[in-house]
Amino acid sequence: MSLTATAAVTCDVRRTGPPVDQLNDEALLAGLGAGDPDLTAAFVRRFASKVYGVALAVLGDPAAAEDVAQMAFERAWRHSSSYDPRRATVGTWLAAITRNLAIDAARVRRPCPVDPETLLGVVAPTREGTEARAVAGEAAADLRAALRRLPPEQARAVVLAGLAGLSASQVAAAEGIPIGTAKTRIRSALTRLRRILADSGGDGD
Amino acid sequence: MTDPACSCTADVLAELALGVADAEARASALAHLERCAACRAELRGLGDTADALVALTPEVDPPDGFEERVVGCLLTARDAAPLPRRAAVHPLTRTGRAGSGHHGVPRPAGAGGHRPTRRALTTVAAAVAVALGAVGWALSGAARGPVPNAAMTTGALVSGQRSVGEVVLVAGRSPWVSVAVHGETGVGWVRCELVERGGEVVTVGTFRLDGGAGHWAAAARTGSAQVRQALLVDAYSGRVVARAGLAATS
Repeated sequence: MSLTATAAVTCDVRRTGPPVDQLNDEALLAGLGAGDPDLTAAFVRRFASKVYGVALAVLGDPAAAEDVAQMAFERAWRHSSSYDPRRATVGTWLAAITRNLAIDAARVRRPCPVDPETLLGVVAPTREGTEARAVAGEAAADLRAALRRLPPEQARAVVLAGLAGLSASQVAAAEGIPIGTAKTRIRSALTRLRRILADSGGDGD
Repeated sequence: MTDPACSCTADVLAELALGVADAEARASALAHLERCAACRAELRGLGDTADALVALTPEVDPPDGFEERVVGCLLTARDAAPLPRRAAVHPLTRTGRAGSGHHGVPRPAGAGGHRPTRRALTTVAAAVAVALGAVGWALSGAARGPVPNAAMTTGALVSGQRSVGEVVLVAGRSPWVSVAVHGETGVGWVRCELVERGGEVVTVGTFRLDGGAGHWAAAARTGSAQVRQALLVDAYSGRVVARAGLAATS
């Protein structure tokens, strides 16, 4: 599945109109799906840090994260038509793809991908400046704040399940708690986060 | 949620949404979800939240050369293999999206096999998408790949005095058009038409707007050099609901 060949990038497409970097995310995704070199390059350029960041957060290994990030872009190319703008931004869709791939890779590599404290750290406030973050905007800020307001044990449970892909039994083992408690923490945390997103208008429902 | 099974299913919805439910719980919940719209809606909301959670992950600059390698590989793969098959209908709508199916593009076979929930749920979505395909569209084989010296024009979609989206038209040997509608146009099915300089109207296809919004890409069957305007027309009444000027530049 992974792409192994490399090739020099030659974009000899000459365009009229605005620079491709000014196009919206959906147009770039459409260009990726159509195999357009310019738009493909712009898409990768726009989301490389996002995709690599998600993969690195789950895997904790730069080399493995790079492999998974590349696979994620390939997956996005092959399944660009499955994107639904009513559900999420392109960045969120792509992050979810990356997360799934990274979790699969992490399972092959080791039972528990990264330390819980490390995972909790990845939901801390992020650096400023990208368009993707601007789009995610207020809802993301609300969700991040909501995570910090959760009881720590709930935040750990939902992050372990949501980012590391641990099952309830694995969360229970990692936290040294009964499985029923782990399930309750996961459910309570995600439900509460959903409610906050809906209140902020970011849930899309 | 009036079905007694709803309470049992509710206990595992969060794990389903996060993709971490065990096999037994998943099987039981899926059986219930097939007949319970309320639980499906709940799962979809939780799935969106799970996605939003992942998207909070901080960005990290990849190693030098990463972007070039990825683009090179993508273009190499594009040239070596058929383009990905397009859905009969671009998933404009969330109608068929159960659970977290939105991000549930197929996972690798044999990997994460104990979490096929999203796939299973997406199967339901796929059936709905196929059903909608009767008035849908597909990128034609002729739409494959870009061509050198292709020209691209963009235009803001305007409905009344409001900007409701954007049209991107890529010309060349296999022209294609991308349309993103963000505004509340209040119309379900719309026909996308391209008006050429000579007045000839080329129909791109018929698409569905969900809540007045949607996004699609399709073969344009014309080139931007000939197109001066894109129209979204109410598929039932024939009323123009939005238009975008696409005057070609050179």
